[in-house]
Amino acid sequence: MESKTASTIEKAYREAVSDFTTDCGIPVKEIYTHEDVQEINPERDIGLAGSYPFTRGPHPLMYRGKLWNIRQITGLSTPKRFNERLKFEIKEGATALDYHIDGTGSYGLEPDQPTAEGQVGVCGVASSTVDDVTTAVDGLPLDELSLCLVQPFPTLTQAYLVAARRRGYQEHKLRIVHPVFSLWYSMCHRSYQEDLYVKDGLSTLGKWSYDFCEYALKHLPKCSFWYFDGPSVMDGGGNAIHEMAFILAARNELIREMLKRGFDIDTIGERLSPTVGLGSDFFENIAKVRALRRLWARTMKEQFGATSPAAMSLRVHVNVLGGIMTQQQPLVNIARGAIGALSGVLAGCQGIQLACYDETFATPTEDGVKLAIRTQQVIRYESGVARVIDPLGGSYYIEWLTSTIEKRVEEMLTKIEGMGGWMAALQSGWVHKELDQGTVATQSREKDGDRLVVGVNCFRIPPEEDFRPPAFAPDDTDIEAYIADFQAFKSRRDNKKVKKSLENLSEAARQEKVNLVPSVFNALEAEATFPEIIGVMRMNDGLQYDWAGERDFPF
Amino acid sequence: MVERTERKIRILVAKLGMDTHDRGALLLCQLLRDAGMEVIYTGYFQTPESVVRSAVSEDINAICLSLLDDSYMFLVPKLMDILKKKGIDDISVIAGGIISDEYKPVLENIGVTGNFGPGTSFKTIIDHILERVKTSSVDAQEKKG
Repeated sequence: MESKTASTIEKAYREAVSDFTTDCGIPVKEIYTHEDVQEINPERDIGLAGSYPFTRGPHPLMYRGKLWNIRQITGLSTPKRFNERLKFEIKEGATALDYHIDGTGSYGLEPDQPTAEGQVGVCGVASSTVDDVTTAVDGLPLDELSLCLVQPFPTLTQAYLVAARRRGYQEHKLRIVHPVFSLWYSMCHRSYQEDLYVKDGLSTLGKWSYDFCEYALKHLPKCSFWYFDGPSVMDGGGNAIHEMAFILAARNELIREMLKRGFDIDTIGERLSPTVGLGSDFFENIAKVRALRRLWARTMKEQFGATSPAAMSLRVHVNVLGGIMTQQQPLVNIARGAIGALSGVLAGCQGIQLACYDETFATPTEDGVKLAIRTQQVIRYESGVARVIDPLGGSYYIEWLTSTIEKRVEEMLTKIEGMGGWMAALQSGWVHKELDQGTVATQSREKDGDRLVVGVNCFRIPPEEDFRPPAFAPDDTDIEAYIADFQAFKSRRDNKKVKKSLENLSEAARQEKVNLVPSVFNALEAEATFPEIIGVMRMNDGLQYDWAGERDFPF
Repeated sequence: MVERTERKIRILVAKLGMDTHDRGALLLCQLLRDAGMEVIYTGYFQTPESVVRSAVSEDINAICLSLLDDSYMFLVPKLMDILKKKGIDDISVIAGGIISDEYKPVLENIGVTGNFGPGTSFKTIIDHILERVKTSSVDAQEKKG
């Protein structure tokens, strides 16, 4: 029997806690007292929410002013089916939305090319044109919702703005979260190095990412920059210290770039919002977010001279990790989700996306996402935890753990800056080595039973007795129809107009100092496809037009 | 000529298609090496053709496929088809990752075994690889006469 638990009732009755280290490796005592927090000055280090150093939260009222966003990761099948899912989420109580492009879209492939076969509408929603985006958000009040666009390049965000304009919305009124993938995507998708960095500098695609940030700083006051994905660190093998340090290091990189482009620190700072991954360690989750907020505020002020509260305070969206969920006894994932989401609320996050119980099998079903929403609703309306700001503030353990994590994060951040900063650390291979070492270490601990996972290395049941949730799968006929629509779209366009717009884009790309955003808008309005726009950018660096090498530039 | 089972077992760990979630694949590489096997990791974006090419040129005993998104339902049969057309019957194909229950019998049917989900013990995986490689070597011997 592989279970680590007692085989007799007596032993089980007498069982005691047997692990005394947090997930990121901090040894913890059995109890904490006022002696452990002697060095912490309540006014200087803790204070109030909405006041420097913002340990307790970015806003004075926190959830009494606005509750966290219920924003689930969403992306499936075709724009039409995706639209149905978005409307379902809103109906069930989601308060913000997410638009996750599929695998082919992440590489700028056309849906009808050979490499794309079997992969359209998989791991995200297929989208190649402004028309697709229009369909995807059809019937939704764009000026009322907050939408997070998710594609490694700004095509999707820009297409959304074009689609919104066509429906009569003013872009400066739209609440969007724009993904700045150039800073971190190659951390977890190691192949991306080639697309984003060429000859020791940013590729055209990478530069375009920063160009869009510049555009947003000037013209889109309600656009936040999702500039770093903490969950990718956690799910990639890293621990809480890595995650917090990388968030800050990557932030510094983006700040330096935007300062170079002539913006001031306060303008930049107020837009930055990373995502944070919530693992299994409840108090570690809470303490790391508090530590991050305090360190963020201190470094923004002391290192960069920020003065506005909006720039010094940090808003985070949290993700209860898919990596802590199991295939074994999957209903137990609902409990994991609840505990994780609760830690996010107690940490004072501004939004939650919760891995659904069936997400270890496939893209979540409607039932799966509904349960994730319901979990958050139970916390909101039944548990009462949102009534009081930072309710764990002042707890000896929480304050001690917050400060301890803060110290360790600062050490690692100093190390990264010593390597030349985040990009240097990433391109040197150091980041990947840290993640890989973490992966192996975690696996060893699970194998040895030092890290228990219920249903996996303890309390197992025979697979044939286990619950199997119904799995989601996109309908093949939907995908076929989508591909046919794409081909029809290309043939009915005014190709002269498309060609001209892509030539303009090429010309703009050749100029080092020209912001690419207007030319991309122009191309999208002329009905160029995402792959065409991305392909032109690739060619500017001497890369082949098509990432898969199957298609040539069509004009 | 040295018998296959007397030299180190050579494994090709591969990711077909566009999915780049390879934490499991990287971990598997490490653990197979610790178990005394020689491991080559293809990296991402492999096509059925490129995997077979690598497996043949590297004189591989077994291909271990790391699967996640639904595209495997299209790509894996293609790979088995190429092996069949080339008359390659001494390379085992083993899979692991996120594989739907409904599809496992389809994979087994075309000769892809294991189909290990998350939480499978590495001992189980290694024992399975050893068994398949041994069987394959015995079959090859019998064919030679």
